[in-house]
Amino acid sequence: MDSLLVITTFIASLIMISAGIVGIVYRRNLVAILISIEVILNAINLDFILFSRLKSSHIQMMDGQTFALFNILIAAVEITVGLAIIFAIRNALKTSDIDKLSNIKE
Amino acid sequence: MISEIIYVALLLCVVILSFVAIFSREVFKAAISLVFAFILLSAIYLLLGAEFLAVMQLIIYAGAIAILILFAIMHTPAKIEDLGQAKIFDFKPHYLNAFILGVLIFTILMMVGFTVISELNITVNNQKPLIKDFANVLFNIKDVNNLGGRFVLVFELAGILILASVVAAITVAKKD
Repeated sequence: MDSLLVITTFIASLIMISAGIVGIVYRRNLVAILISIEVILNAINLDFILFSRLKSSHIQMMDGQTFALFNILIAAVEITVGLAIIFAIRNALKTSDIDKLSNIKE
Repeated sequence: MISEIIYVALLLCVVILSFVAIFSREVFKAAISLVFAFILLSAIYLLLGAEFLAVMQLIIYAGAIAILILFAIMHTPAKIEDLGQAKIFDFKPHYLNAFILGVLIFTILMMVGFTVISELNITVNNQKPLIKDFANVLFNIKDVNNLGGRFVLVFELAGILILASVVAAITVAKKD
């Protein structure tokens, strides 16, 4: 584990974050947008764990790992409420395409 | 040496599987590749020395979240017309917006990230935190001098957040 591997992991996580943001704008399906958000949260988790590895002492390494643990929890909460909202939209409007949801704003 | 090769190969697989999960036309294929990306990511966490988080990743992401997404895909209407359009690339204006946004955000993140990294001295230590360190950080409020119990408040707030999300999910998804 040297500095080259740290930079490689960092670039990989940056690629995953930007691809997820592209996916949020690009995809029209609501479930696919939630999948893109999951990819972003995973890339951020990878960053937290990678940079917690650079801390000097045992107890300081826990900062990044605890943040990653709470990030997993936030992702679980987000996917639960998001899928509930998708189910409610499906029941009300019979679609999961966000282009057809534009009459919500009226 | 061999572990570094395995590490880079795993990283490459995770990036490719994430791309498939984001840009695949079929949502079911996207969900399946997302599951495999989660599993390979937990292997990366093991190689980075975060064993507890690797297990948590397997249980919560690959176990719960992936099954929830597959369940949702089975209950939402399939987009048959989308598969017919997949042969010809019909250009829509939001494709260009998405591409420009992605390049812009990648550039900004690279600039900010490498400014931070260049000031950092990268010395990786090889010691691994244990589960008892998690317990120390999350619960041990008696040991404040030794930086224990730093995240007690966050832990309690997380419990409230989970309760609120369960109530919200049942209320929103309930048919009446």
